[in-house]
Amino acid sequence: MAVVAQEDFGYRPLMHGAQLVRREPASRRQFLKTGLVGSLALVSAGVAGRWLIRTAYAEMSEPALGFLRPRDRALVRAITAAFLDGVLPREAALRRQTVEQAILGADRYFSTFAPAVQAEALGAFDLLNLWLGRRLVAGVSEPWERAKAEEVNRFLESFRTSGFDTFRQIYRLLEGIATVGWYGLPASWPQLGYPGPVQIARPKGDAPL
Amino acid sequence: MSRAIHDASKFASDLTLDTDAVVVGTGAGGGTAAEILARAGLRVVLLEEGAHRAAADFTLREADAFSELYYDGANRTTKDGAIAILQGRTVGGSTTVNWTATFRTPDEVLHHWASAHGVRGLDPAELAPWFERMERRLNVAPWKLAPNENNEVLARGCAKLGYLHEVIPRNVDQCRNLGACGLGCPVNAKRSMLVTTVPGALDAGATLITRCRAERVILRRGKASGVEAVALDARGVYPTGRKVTVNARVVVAAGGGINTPGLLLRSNVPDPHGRLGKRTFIHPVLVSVADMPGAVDGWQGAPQSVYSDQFLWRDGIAGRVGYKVEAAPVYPMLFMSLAGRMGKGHLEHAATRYRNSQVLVALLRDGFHVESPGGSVMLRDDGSPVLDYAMNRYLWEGAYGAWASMAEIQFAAGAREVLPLHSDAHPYTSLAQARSAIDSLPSNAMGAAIFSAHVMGGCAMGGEASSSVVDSDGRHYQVENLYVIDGSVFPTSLGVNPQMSIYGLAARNATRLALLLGGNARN
Repeated sequence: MAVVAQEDFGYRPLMHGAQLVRREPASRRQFLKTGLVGSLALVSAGVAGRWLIRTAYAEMSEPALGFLRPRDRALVRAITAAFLDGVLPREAALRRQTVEQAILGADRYFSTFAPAVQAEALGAFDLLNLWLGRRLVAGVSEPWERAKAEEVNRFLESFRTSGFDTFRQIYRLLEGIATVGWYGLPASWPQLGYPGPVQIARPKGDAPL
Repeated sequence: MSRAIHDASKFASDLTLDTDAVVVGTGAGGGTAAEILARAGLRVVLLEEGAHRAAADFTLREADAFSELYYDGANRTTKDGAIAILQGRTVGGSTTVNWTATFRTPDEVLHHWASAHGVRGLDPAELAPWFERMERRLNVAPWKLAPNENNEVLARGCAKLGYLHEVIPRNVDQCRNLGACGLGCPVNAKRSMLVTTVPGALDAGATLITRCRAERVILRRGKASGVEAVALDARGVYPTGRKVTVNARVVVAAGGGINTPGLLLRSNVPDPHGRLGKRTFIHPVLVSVADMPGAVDGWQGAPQSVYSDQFLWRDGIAGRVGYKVEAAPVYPMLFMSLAGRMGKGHLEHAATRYRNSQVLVALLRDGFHVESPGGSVMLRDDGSPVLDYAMNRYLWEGAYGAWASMAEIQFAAGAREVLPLHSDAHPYTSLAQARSAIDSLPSNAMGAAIFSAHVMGGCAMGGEASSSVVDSDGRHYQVENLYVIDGSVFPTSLGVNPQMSIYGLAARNATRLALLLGGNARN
């Protein structure tokens, strides 16, 4: 993930954080400068990046997941369920099961990315998994397991249109996990009117000349 | 004769090979070069970072194809994360997954290379026989069937407005018009490197090692003498720890833009003038989505069969940035993830309009103007290459023009709504409304959805060592026995889809190289 461009600082408050900024401008700005930006900068380069890559290696042994770590599941589940709310199956049990399948699909997709890119994405999860990150940056009051859909959606929409490119990038990552996971599943296709891949006889064996 | 294809992810020990030429990459450049060298009687080893996947493996599901056949899930981003690059990583490289549009390098571009970059011997007349040869080899011909509705909208809109539009030549044979080109052709109709030059090279005795990433060119006393590579795991992500060393008389770097400059940067190849990785061009692509009154079903049928050059050269080669307008296939995962970028509400809206969605793309031709210097390839801490590419005022002006032109064409063809893909845009119901809204969109690369399917440059060829990396024959200026034969040698972008420009130049330069190496001339 890229380090935030310098010119993005200081003049455009976060949409969802507008009241916060008015209440305690100094501390918030300070946090953005030293805390958030500092952590992202570290993740994108240097020691922390290498550490994260090693972490990704170590946790590859988790059987079902190639990219996400067990601690990312609640966050990804909350994002996926909230973002896809209007297009997922209505029935509760089926919906829960579909969200899990979508997460597995997204995990498989992201697990083929270059290690450095995976590490950057995991750095964003680390930020949002921190109490400070979730409460102050995302504005989500409850832990991700119990996050309210409206708070998650407000967070996503504020990141989508944020003046901070890093936040827009985190939005793309989270939105991408949800949409890639769900629209990679055949279950999503009837709603689109997409009939699925064409069935056709394949040539056998080696490629011809 | 059985073909020598080895999957390095399964290697249990290190491997060392000796050969005449080691070719890094099996795409448009590497495939073409390898076949010519092997057929000249030279020993050839091909190294490919991707896996060997063929027609029987292609499930035509994006979730599979993007993960298995592309870099970073068809979403290899620029350094700031803003621009998504579709680049193939499989045997055949991007030719295995491209949309089959096949154009010769425009004459304007070749003349510009000669006059502005000192490129020699590549004028249209000299290159014509090489293009002819590759067009025959790959069965290139203008598409004969009717365009699908997605392309028909482009033709209809242009016809209404009196704009230029033509049929796209495609490299296919007995094409079934399925529309799956970007997911791997399931019937071997696309004449990609996967089914032409790579098997051609193997049948002439070449050896192919897949899931094998070239780490560095071996340099001895200033000369290239081979390549050190690492075996990758079955997913192609992490090295297994096994090493592959290929000692060779010549090294042919053919990993394409980003990868070839990355390989040479990792190798600490001399770069006294700081040219390596510079002037990388991407044809930045802007997207416009139309909601048509009837079904478009844009996933089916030849994905690209109509193009418009109305805006490509209008101000001359060095004027305002021009753009080529084409259609793009509407695959569900790719399309809906773009819809998701417009927000949750739009996702739900787009799902109900999916079948009626029509997609136009405009490719900005970058690199012909002093204000379009291109991006730079650099290495991350772990040695992987990444492209730093900035949109600037010159390019943004082209982007606004492109969104407006695409909206104009789509409305002229009967669109009910047009959405320029930008996070601050909305679907617009009239051209006037779209135009004024487009003018006020912020020029923020993270806001706009900007893509690239064509990475060019980074090892620019040219007449002077001070301003380029290789000469017009692909020979490296500083390192003997090192050649670059791929799209990374282009000193600018092309203004056309690049595959034939790579094939033609690769055929010419590989043939010259084969003669230098004492190969026979039966080509």
